[in-house]
This record gives sequence, C-alpha cells and structure tokens, in this order.
Amino acid sequence: MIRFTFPFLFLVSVATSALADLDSLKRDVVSNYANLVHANYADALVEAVNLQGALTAFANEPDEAGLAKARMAWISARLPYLQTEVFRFYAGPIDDDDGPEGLINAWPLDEAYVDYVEGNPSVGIVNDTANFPEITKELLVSVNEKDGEENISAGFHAIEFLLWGQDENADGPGNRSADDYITAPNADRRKAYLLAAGELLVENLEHLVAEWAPGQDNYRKSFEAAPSSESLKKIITGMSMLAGFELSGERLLVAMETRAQEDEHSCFSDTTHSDVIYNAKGIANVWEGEYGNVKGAGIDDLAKAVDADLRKKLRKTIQEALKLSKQIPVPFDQAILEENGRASILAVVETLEDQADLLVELSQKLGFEVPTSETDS
Amino acid sequence: MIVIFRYLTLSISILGLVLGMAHAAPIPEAQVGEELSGGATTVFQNGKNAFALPLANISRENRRAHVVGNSFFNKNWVIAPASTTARDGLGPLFHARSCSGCHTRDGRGAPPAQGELMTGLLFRLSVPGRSPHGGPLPDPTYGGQLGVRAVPGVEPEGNVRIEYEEIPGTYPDSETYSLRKPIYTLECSKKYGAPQNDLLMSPRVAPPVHGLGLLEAVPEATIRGFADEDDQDGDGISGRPNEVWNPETQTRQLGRFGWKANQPDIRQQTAAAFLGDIGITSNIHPNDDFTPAQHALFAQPGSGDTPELDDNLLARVVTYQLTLAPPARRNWTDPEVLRGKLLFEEAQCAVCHVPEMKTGDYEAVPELANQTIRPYTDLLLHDMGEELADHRPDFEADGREWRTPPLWGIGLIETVNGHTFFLHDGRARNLEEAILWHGGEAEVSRDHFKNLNSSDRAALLAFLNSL
Repeated sequence: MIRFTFPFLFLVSVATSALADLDSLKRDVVSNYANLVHANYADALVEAVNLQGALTAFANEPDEAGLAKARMAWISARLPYLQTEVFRFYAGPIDDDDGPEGLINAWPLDEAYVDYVEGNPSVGIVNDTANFPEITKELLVSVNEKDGEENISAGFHAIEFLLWGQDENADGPGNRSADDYITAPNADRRKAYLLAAGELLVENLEHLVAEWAPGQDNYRKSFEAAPSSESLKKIITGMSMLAGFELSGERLLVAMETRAQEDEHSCFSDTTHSDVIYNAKGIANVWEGEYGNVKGAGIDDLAKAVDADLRKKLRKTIQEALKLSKQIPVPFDQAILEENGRASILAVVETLEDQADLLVELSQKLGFEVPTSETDS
Repeated sequence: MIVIFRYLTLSISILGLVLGMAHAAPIPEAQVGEELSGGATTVFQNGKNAFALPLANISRENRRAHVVGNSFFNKNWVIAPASTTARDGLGPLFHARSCSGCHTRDGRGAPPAQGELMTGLLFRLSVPGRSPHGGPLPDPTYGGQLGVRAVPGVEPEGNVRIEYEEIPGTYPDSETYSLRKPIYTLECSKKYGAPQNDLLMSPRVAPPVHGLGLLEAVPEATIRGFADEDDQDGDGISGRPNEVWNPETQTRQLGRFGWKANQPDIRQQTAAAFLGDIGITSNIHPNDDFTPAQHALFAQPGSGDTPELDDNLLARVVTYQLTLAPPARRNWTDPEVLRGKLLFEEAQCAVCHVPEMKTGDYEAVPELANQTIRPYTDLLLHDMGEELADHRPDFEADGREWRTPPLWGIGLIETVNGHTFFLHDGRARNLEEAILWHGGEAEVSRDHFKNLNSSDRAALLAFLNSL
C-alpha cells in the first residue's frame, strides 16, 4: 500500500505544481498586458499631443508647409494608435458603454457631414452656420454618429478629411489646399473645427492612459484583480475580434467586395495599407508580450504551456499576417481594383481568419471561448 | 380528442381554484434541447448584440458574405451623386438611411416619442381595390408608403400625428391595468394636396431580423399544414396562409414575412424594403416609389447608378439576414418559467405561436437545413379583432388579419433595443399589454390569461421573457 502511495502523492504534487505554474504564468500575462496597454496608449497620447501642436501651428499661420507638417504629424499619430486597436472589443475603457472609440476612430465618414464636397460647396458642419453658430468640442461630441453611423464629426478620420480633403486621385491621396484655411468660405470655422477635433482626440487618449495607469483606482486595477481567466478572455477577445471580424471583415473584405474607396479605412490620406500593418502589429505585440520597453509574458508563453502544437500554428499566422500585410500594394484604393492587389489582400484575410479560428481553439483550451463576431463581452 | 383535452384543462383549472394554489397540475420538466431556439445554429448571447450574431454553425464562405452584408445593413445611404458611389441613391423619398436605422442591432423598432420624427415605425398607404397582381392598390399621389423624409429639392409627403388614449381595465382578480390606444392623424404636405377620402393606412413597426433564414427554410407544406381555414377542429382559431406576388419569379407564392405575411422570402422582402424605406432601386424594383404625380411636382432629383443596389450587394444583405442566428433561451429550467410554459399551452397560445418545427433542405445556406427550431409562430394570418385591425387588406390578408409573429428572442428586446414596445404599431408598452390587446381568434386565449391569478400571469410572462 505504502509503496503505491508515494508515487501517487508524487504525481499529484507534480500536477499541482504544474497547475500553480500555469496560474502564475496567467497572472504574469495579465499584468504584463496591462503594462503594455498603458505604454501603447501613452505613446498614442504623445503623438496626439504632437499632432495637436502641428494643427495649432497650422491654424495660427496657415500655409502649405504647415499643412504638410500637420499631415505628417497625423500619419505619425496613427502608428501607435492603430496598435492599440487590439485592446478593443471587450468593453474595456476604449469601448465600454461610455468609451470614446466612436470619438477617436469612427469610420467610414460621410464627408458631406463635416465639410464641403465636390458638387456640394455649402454642406457640412463647417458651412452650416445656421445650425451650428460655433464649432466647439462639445458640439463635435454631441453630433458625432447622430442619426447615422457615418455621421462622424470627430476623431482621426474627421481630422484626416480636414487635412487631405476628398481623394479624387488614382495615384495619390486627397490634396486639399491650404487656401481652405486662408481665403475659402468659412476658413476660420474650418480652423476652429480642426483645433476642437485635435483637442478632443488628446482628451480622449488622456482618459485611456489614466484608466490603464498603474497604482490607481481605475480600470486596470479591476482588470488585474479579476480572476485571470476573465482578463485573459478579454485579452484574447481583442485579438480574435480584430483578426476575425474588424480587420479581415470590415476593413478588408468589405472594401474588396465593393471595390469602393469609401470602404477604405483611411481613404483621404491613402494610408490604409499602414493601418493594416499596424493593426497586425498590435496583435503581434500582445502575442509576444512586447511593446517598446515592455517585455514580459505574452499569450505566446501561455499557448506554449497549454498546447505546443497549437502555439506553433498560431505563431505562424501572426508572423504571416504581418508579413503579408506589408505586401499589399499601395495605394489600397487601387489595390482593391486590380487582380494582384486583390489576391494579396485576400491572402491577409485568409491568414487572419485562420488566426481567429486558432485563437478560439486556444481559448477553449484555456476553459473559455472568445468570439469572432460582434458580441457582448 | 379535443373535447377531452379541454375537459381535462378545465378540471385542472377548477382543481387549482379549489385548492387555492397557483397551479395544481404537475409541471413537466424542461425538454431536452428546448433552449436551442435554432437547433445547431443557436447562439448563446444575451446582451445587446444578441440578435447580431451569425449562425453558430456558419461556414467560412457564408461568414464572409455575412460580414459584407452586415456592413451594408448598417451603413448609411447618401444622396446621389456623391463620391461614395457604392452607397448613393438615397430617396427621393425615404424613411431611413440604412436598414439598421430602423432594425437597430437587428432588433425591433419603436414608435416615435413625443415630438420625434418616426423611424422605427412606418405607414403603408393604399386605396380600396387591388393591384394587377392582387396586392394593395397604391395611392395615385402618395404611392404605397408615406415618405416622411426626402432629399433636398423634394418635400416629405407628410407625417402622422400619434396620440394615445388610455383605456383602463381590470382583471377578474380586481388588479388593474391600462392600455393605450393609438389615434393616428395623417398630416399631408400641402404640396401634394389632400389625400383621397378612402385612403387606407397601416402602421408597421420594424420587426427583428434574427432567425429569418430558418423561417425561410421551413417547408411550405409544414406551414400549410398549420392552416385551418374553416376552423374544422372547432377551436375558434382559423389560421390561413397569405398568397403573395413574387415580382422576380412572376409567380404567386406562400407569404411568409412581414406583419401581414406579404412577402414570399427574404430576398423579396429586402428588395422591397430597400425601395420603400430607403429609396434604393434594384433589378427587382428598378423604379423609385415616386408617383407620376410627384414627378410632375419636382424635377427628378439625382439618382445613383441604375440600379442603385447591384445584384451582388443585394445578395450579400440577403445572406446576412438569412444567417442571423436566433439566441438561445435563458432560464428555461426555472420552475416559474416551466409553469409559465404550461400556462402558455393551456391558454392555447401555442396553437398559433407554434413552439417547434423542422426546417427542410436549403441549398444556398446548408447550415439552415434540417434543424429543429423553436420560433413560436405558424407564419399564418389570423383575425386579431377589431381593436388591432388596420382595415387595409394586403393580398389575401384582410383588414383584421395579422401574421403570427415569431416570439424567439422576445425577452431580449429590452436589452437589445432598450424598450418593450410590442405589436405591429408598438402600442403595447410591455408583453402583458401585448397579450391584453389580442382579440378575434385570440380572444379566448386573452381571456384565459386575464382569468389567471396574478402569480400565474407573472409565470406566463416569465416564460415569454425566457424566449
């Protein structure tokens, strides 16, 4: 009897300690993720402040050079922000009931809701002096997504449209003239719009940084205090939803299907290709547990611990998605029209779909199930 | 058989009364799988996106179509010409700019609040008589639907002023309730002139769109099998099918969808809604619902491409709706819910709100085929009494008849849409009022409900909320 008991006890203790290891790994993944999110939003904020500076400089002395600088600042501000989009889809600070996502990155945007368009010189909030005597942050908040999902008044894409204008060129982005801010009708209102939109963007990113700051009584605190499987479900949901729904579906498939520029994510600046790359990079960051100076346990480590084979497959899709997204021809609005471009976009879509399915599989191994369609997290 | 069944029901009720108990009959346990509203397609979500999910068993190919269709269901159509060429052609008259404008989160619309322009509710119009294909005869000026919005350069046709009259009532157990009866006053734009005296008007709330593919996959014979046109079984309930025109196949078909079952399938329903509600033409309906009288009043405003919605995108929006899953039930093993389920059956609610049926083959979306589903409808027309009558015939449906709406997901409307307005015009402010409005063939069931004690009434409502 005794002879049997010892090995039995030994096995139990091995199993127990393996479980304890996994538990502690899970907690590490969660807390490293919180660091990563904070660092990423902090970068996004720095860049947004920089953008706001460029917008202010341009509004104070509008000329073509200032407009070009503002555009560069917008493009730079996109890079860290796009990587944060993998923190969406689980009703965290970015998109809980009063989250600012719709004020930061809502799209596609009906240009005519914001400013004049070809053939309609007096439409949009900029030109509607009767209904909107003064353009303020509060106004932009109150009319954003009012009476329709494309009635977008605020965020990156409203600023993008104000900086570039409609993209009527096959081989390049929109080319709004600085005159729109100097001599054109409602030039001052356009400036006021630009500044209010920039300020609002900064404020909303400040809010996100604060919610993820360490040592505060904020979202992060409850995120880290929750049972680790709950927080892990959120982390992987962000990945599966971005891969399996938002990026592969809304941003790539829809544009491929309609072959229409209006379904292109950053259609005024022709930077959609970069959106795809940095979204994919955001997923890879969370997978590796690395962003900037943050380096720690990632989902990769967790996958290795629960299923080495599955981890290998997932890892491959994450690297592939990043590699393939860099191969989409530029500009995206032409890529969706021609055979090679479409094939290269479809390759990204397929990889992301595989990735999402594998993430679901991983989640099941971890004892829960993440969605790949809009759900209630 | 029926007589015996009724006798038994009656004795059980009497027994219940004698014993002074909520319900004396043994309550059967939950059936295996009864929570699966849509068989293998069922999704388990009970939050605000509960109606917005694709079938649980969806293939990758159909999922892609679903995603693209979803985008088109949600996004706004704009005035033509616009730089947004894939989505221009709104109007000239329209009710909303997108499908989701009314079917918010794929759920149910609501009547307008005081001072609000209607969105989740619309008004069908016609004059006495029938169109060449047996449908309603559009008004010569106003057409088939009231256009409450219009593109610049065109005037909206008008609006409907809605007032409600409170009608107090009392249950036999002396508990009180109040129903609100809508009074509609059509206020037409002066531009178009006064409508004909005999104009017929029918209010219709935007119904939820989940589970529609499964209803389309129910074999026609199954639905016709529910019919009892001359009430041969003597239960006072005489469901009958609508027979409607399919403009695409140019044939008469069984009507399945819409408040009066006036559409044969989701494809026709969708094309008709694009035209009537958003002013978007398709190959099925190549011309805007803009009457010659209206053309005479306004220079033709800009249109999009011809047609404005191409066949491919129409197909995607159709697939989207075909592949929206019904949500699983909640609390289906709860004793109160099980008691409510029994009461639902005893009150004969289940005669029209048929709990369970099987889908047949469905080639285009095989995920829908051969599923046991629990939609709580027979898809047939029933006389619902004078109080609910719109007095506007629609193909074979007369002015008192409405199609039994499916009840799956009904307990989630509040979560998804933030309101509990029910029935074709949203007059009922909750499920209890909806039951109390039932008349005509459903009068006996309504009275059965009224005669229940308050705990049993609550149990029946708890059952409905579990659907």
